[in-house]
Formats: sequence, C-alpha cells, structure tokens
Amino acid sequence: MTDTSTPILEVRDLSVDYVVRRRQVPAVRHVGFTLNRGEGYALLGGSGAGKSTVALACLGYLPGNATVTGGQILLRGRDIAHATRQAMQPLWGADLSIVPQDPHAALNPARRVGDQVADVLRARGETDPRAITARVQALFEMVRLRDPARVAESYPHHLSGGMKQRICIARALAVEPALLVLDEPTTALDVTTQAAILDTIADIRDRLGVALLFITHDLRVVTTLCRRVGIMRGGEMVEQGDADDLLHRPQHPFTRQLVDAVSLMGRDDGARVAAPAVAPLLTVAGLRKTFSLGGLFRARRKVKAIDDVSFTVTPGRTLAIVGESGSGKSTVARCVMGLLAPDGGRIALGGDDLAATSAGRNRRLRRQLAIVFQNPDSSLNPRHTVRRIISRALPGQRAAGDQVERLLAAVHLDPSLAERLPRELSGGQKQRVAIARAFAADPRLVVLDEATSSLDLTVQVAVLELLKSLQAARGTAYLFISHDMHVVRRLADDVAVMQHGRFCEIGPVDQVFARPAHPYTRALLASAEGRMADEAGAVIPDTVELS
Amino acid sequence: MGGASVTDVSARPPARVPILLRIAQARGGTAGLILIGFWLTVFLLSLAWTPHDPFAFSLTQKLVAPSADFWLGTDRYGRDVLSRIMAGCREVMLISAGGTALALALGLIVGVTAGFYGRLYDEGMMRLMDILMAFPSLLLALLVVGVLGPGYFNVILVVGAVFAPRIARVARGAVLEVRQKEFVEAALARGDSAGNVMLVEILPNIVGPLGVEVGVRFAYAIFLSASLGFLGLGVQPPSPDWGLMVNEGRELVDVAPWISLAPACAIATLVVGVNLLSEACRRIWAGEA
Repeated sequence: MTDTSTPILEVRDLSVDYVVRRRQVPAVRHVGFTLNRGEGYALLGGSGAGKSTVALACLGYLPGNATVTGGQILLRGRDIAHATRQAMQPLWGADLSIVPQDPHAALNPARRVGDQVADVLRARGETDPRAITARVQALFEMVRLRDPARVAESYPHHLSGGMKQRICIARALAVEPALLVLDEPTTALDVTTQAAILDTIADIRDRLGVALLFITHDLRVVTTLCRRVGIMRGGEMVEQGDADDLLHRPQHPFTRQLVDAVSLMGRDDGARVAAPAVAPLLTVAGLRKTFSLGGLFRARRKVKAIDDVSFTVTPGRTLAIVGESGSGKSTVARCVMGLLAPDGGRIALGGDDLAATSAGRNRRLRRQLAIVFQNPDSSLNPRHTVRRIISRALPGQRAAGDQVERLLAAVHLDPSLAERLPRELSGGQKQRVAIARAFAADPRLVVLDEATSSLDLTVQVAVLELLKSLQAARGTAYLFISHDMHVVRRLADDVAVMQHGRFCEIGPVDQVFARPAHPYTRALLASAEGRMADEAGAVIPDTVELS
Repeated sequence: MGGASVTDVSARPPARVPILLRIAQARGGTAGLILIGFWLTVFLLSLAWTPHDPFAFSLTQKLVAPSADFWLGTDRYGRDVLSRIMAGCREVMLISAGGTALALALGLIVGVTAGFYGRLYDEGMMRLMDILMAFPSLLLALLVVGVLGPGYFNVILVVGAVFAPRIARVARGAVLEVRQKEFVEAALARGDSAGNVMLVEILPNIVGPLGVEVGVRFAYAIFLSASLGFLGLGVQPPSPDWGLMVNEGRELVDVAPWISLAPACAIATLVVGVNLLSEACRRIWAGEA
C-alpha cells in the first residue's frame, strides 16, 4: 500500500520540553533515528534518559505538560510531531501499537482476556462473532499461547505474568500495526519468561514485517531483537549505530560503562574460597508455611508456599535462594525475619532458637538480623529524612556523634545527603540508604530480598560491589533472595534453587552453575545463558576492573 | 568505586515553594485564603476589641437599621449586631475547633489501631463506627444533647462524638495503605514497639488525607453547632452564637432582616472558606496543583 522505500518511522532532531511548576524542563534534545519495515531499533538508557518520552512522542501520546519544541516525527512520511490526539486516534488503531511495561496493570482484571482482545477487533469494525473468535485464537497462537481457547475464557488473575504479556502483545498485534512500540516489555517478568517473550517478539517481527521500537535499560535484551541501537543519556542520544559495533567497539564512555556492566554481571570471579568449617550462623530446619486463600463465601484453597525447607548460612558468606516469582523464596525471607509466622520448623541464629514472630524475639537477637527490600521507594519512610531513617535503626533509636555520617560514608554516599528526604534521592542512592539502615545495628545476617532488582543495570553492579565490600569488611552473612542468575553468580558463595516451595538443588555456586543436577536448575541456567551467549560475543574479554 | 560516582547522578532536591503560595495557585485557593484570612482577623480582633458591648441592652436603639454607628444594625434589645457577630466568631471558632480536635483524637485512636492491628479488632471497631454513622449527624447530636443537656461544653462533646467515626474511617483507610509498606515491616522486624511504629512511622504518612478530612469536618462542625444553636439546643442565650442569632431574628425577618442575614452570611462565608481551603490542600497533597 505504501512505497516500501519510505521508512516507517523517521525521527529528525526531536526536542521535547516538560513544564514542571511553570518552568520549562528539557527532556529530549535533538534526537534522530530511522526505522524501516521489519527492523528493530532499541532506545537504551537509564531511568530519566528520556527514552520513554521519545516513544510517547512517536505515538502522539505525550502527556499534557509536554511540548515538542523542535524537529519532526515522520510516520510513513507524514509529520505527526504536532498532531492533536484527535488526529492521532485513527492511527493508533491502524499504524501504531504499544506493548506496555507492566502487563499486570494493562489488563482489566474484571473481564475475560479473550473479550479484551476482541474489543480491539470490534473497534476496527469487525462484527461477525465467529470471525472475531477465530481471529483471537489465531493471534493467541501467533504469540505462542498454549490452548488458546481456554486462555481466551480466562481472567487475568488466572494467568501468569508471561502469559499476560503475551496477551498484551496479541492485543497490540490485533490491529496489524506497522510500528510496534515496546516499552520495557520484559522488565516485570522473570528470566525464563523474558527469554521466551523476546523469542516470540523476534518471530513476529520476521513473520509480519512489523517495525519495532524497543525501549529498555537492559543491554542484554537488545541484541536478540534489534540490529540498530541508540544510547540515550540525559535526554540526548550519546551514540547510535549497529548493535554489534556498539557492543564490541563502544565509543562513548557511557556506552562503555553499559557494556562493562553486562560483562561484569556475567563474569565469574573464580577466586572463591571453599566453605570454611565453622559453625553455621543461621540454621533453618523443616520450615513449612501454608497460605489459605479464599474468604467467607468461597471455597478455601490451601497453597503450600514453603514445604520442608532446610538450609544453613555460614558467617561471612552468602547463600542465594533463586527461583521464579511465586516459588516461595520471599516467604522464606519473611519467616527468617519474623515478619511471618511459619507453620512448622525451626529457625536458629547462632545457638539460639528464634521465636516465630519478631515480637517474640528478644532485642539482642533482633539486632543481629536486618533486611533490605526490593523497592527502596516503599522501604524508606517518605516523611523521614535520611538521618532519621538511619538513626531509628541504631540501638536506642538515637545517633551518637557522627554515626549517621560514618554509615553513609560506608555505603559511599555523601554525608551531606543526611538531611534529604527519600524523594530527593535517585533510585541507587535510596537503595544505599536502605543498606546503611540495615547495617546500622551491626547485624550478623542481612537478608537481601531482591535488593538489586529494581535498579538500572549499571547501578546494580555498583550496589553489588558495595555489598561485597561491606561483607568483606564486616564479616556479615547474607541471605540473598533473587530471580536473576547473573546477580547470584556475582554475589553468592552457595546457591539454593527453589521451585514450588521446595529446594530442588543446593550447593556451592561453582558446582551448581557448572554441573546443575536438577532439570529445573538447567532450565533456569539455559534461559539465563541464552542471553549470556549473545553477550559473550559482544563482550570484550579483558574489560576494565570495576574498582 | 568508580561505578558509583558515575552512575549515582545526584538528584537535586525540588525547589520548595512556600505553602501559602502553592495554595493560592490551586483552584479556589485564593478565595479560600481570603475568606479564612478575613475571619481569622475578625477572630483575633474580637479578643481585644468590639465596636460596642455585644451584651449591652439599649432601649432607645432597638432595631436600628445598618448605619455609620451600627454597621450591621441592632437587634430587638438594641444590641449591636456587628459586635455580636465578632463575639460569636470567637465562640464558633472555639466550639468547632474544640469539637473537631476531640473528634480527631477519638477517631485517630480508633482508626489507627484498627488499621494497624486488623483482623477481628478492626472488624469489631469498624462495625461499631458503621452503626454510629448510620444515624444522621443531626439526629445523633439531638440524642446526645437530649442526654447531656444543652451548653457550651456539651456542644463540643456532641461534635466530637458525631464526627469521630468518620475520621476513624478515613484514618483506618490511610493506615491500611501505609501498613503494608516495607518501611513499616523494617521497623517491626528490628523490634520497634507497636506504639512507636504507629506514631513515628505511620502517622506522618496519613497527615495528608487526614488533614483534608479534618478541614471538611471543621466546616461541618460550624454547621452543626449553628444548627443546634438555631434549634435552641446548643449554646444558650444571651451568648452571641450565630445559629442562635439567626433564630432570634427569624420573627423579625420582614422588619429587620439584618438581624438574621448577618449571622447567616457569616456562617456561609466561613464554611465556604474552610471548604475551599481544604480542597486546595487536598489538590496539593494529591499532586494535582
């Protein structure tokens, strides 16, 4: 229908400003790229780099306080940089589609998913119910959903995160778009699911010839999908070009940093000491926890979150518990912390048995345990200054002398940040404050519940390094809960693989990674390695040491 | 740590705009500020000075229409209406503030503990609040006054009793949201006492929704005390209560309309002002302005 030589999308010298409290704040400066039919283009950058703003501008869906101050966005040769929403409306149904970051929020929980995809078809004028059903099924098959007929009849809460994201992709494809915008489509999913989704998207790109604009902060997912990559930082495109070139020969320092982050994440330190023969610090034996779902008027359903789990953590070492979401690994962490009372089993710290809830434990024992949560936004009280947050975790809830300053220095934060509120800090800074708080009472064991998962890759690496140096300096033991094999490999000495509330394998990291005994461990490793293999080619072997 | 210095780009704290300026920028905020500012001035002025004695009868100057000497005229006993409005302002402010403060204290105790402890205690408390809220507020107020008898302090008690369940409900809702945040779990895990967690970790985070509710309740408290006064069940004559004054002027409304009109306008402007102001604060809290 259109001349194939015209690019689907051409962005020329685009600049976008936001108006915040009556002040113009530049968000995007002079960004330009071209996207052809059947091609993938990745916009890569940390949070706040302006990549989402570019994507929204391409969709003609900028928020009300944003204005395009310069440049052009040519969609099949037509400039839509200043198009109104009314003018864009017909295009959304035909040329443009978006796959959201969080599939859990993108589907209406009260309606069957089949109907939600059918809505899109009806909006395009399809009226024959049988044709609609057939098309929905075909779409579901295209995104590799097993048993499409049953899935179509399901509500979102029946489906896993990965399945929901497939539904969102199916819904986006229902309009047969020329351009598909993917806004961090795999960030909210775990590793195994990520790999499968990326594979599906690549397959669809090849079969339908749809152009992909891929927004991400994770370099690892780019290479499978996109030939060309643009690196954004602070609203500017610092470097762009062929994905392979960029990864092998990064020019800009920021790109190099991104590449290094990946290589460090995948690199094995090698020099791992064998477990010393000392008494375990934390002993967990036969831990069980069953949740009962349902309410007054619905049949109760018992779910075994943890089923007979036993492990030990040695002083100064790290045990990682890996598994997909819902495997029960966070429940273990919460039981150890006394935030959740287990149904059975024994938890002991040093020689002392721990009571089921933290209220039943004495002060001395409680002080030896601390926790760092996944999301620093909800784990720091937004109304307290950094100083107050840390002081309250100190014995007596009061800081003596320069204790707060010393803790901040220990997590590599400027002591002048002490008077700030959490919202005045970046994500990485916030997580460092959470770590400083955990170390305030000088604990013997720190539970890290997905402590790096919500951070950008480069920040993740820095925080992992910090955790390692704190461990080396203070001899603290870590119980590290994670779904990310790369991070586990980087931080842990021992690893336990968890599935459906049970440990299917436990052992030293080297052994588990080199010779996985359980099929599930192999599956986890394979999906992580699948991405690693792409990176392996991309990574210069002798990357600089991060020190 | 090379990585840290490069990646942790220092987030600059947002410039702090004075709160009054932000309220003035919100929709209706300026009007609210002007009205409340006016009544606060009157309140402060009335503590020190009124043009005439609000209680002094004058047989020669009954029902004088508004004039240079009596700006808002006089009532049937020759008392200056403006002076009585000013003196009444003092009473209405103290009664409403006292009643709202009482309601806030009761509501917080019930609401915060219910939201924090949850389970059966929460269920029991909330059903009790539901029962109290099932009565229309004026009816409940009449009931309490019927038992306690009319009077200055009883009106404060009534306002407190009537509004406590509503504040409890709002407080509980806000606590439920904060309760599941991880900073609360972190505090409980390190063994802070329940009271300490509620006061220091949770309370500061519910100030926003609670403040708005308190503003709304304050406005209704003005209404409620005026209604009780009008019905003769609140503050007793010769107190210059606005509701009472409206009632006193009721029979003379075709001869001397200013006697009722002035306190009625006073009630209306004060209530509207409080409402505008609390709405503006709500918008700011919700990030809409």
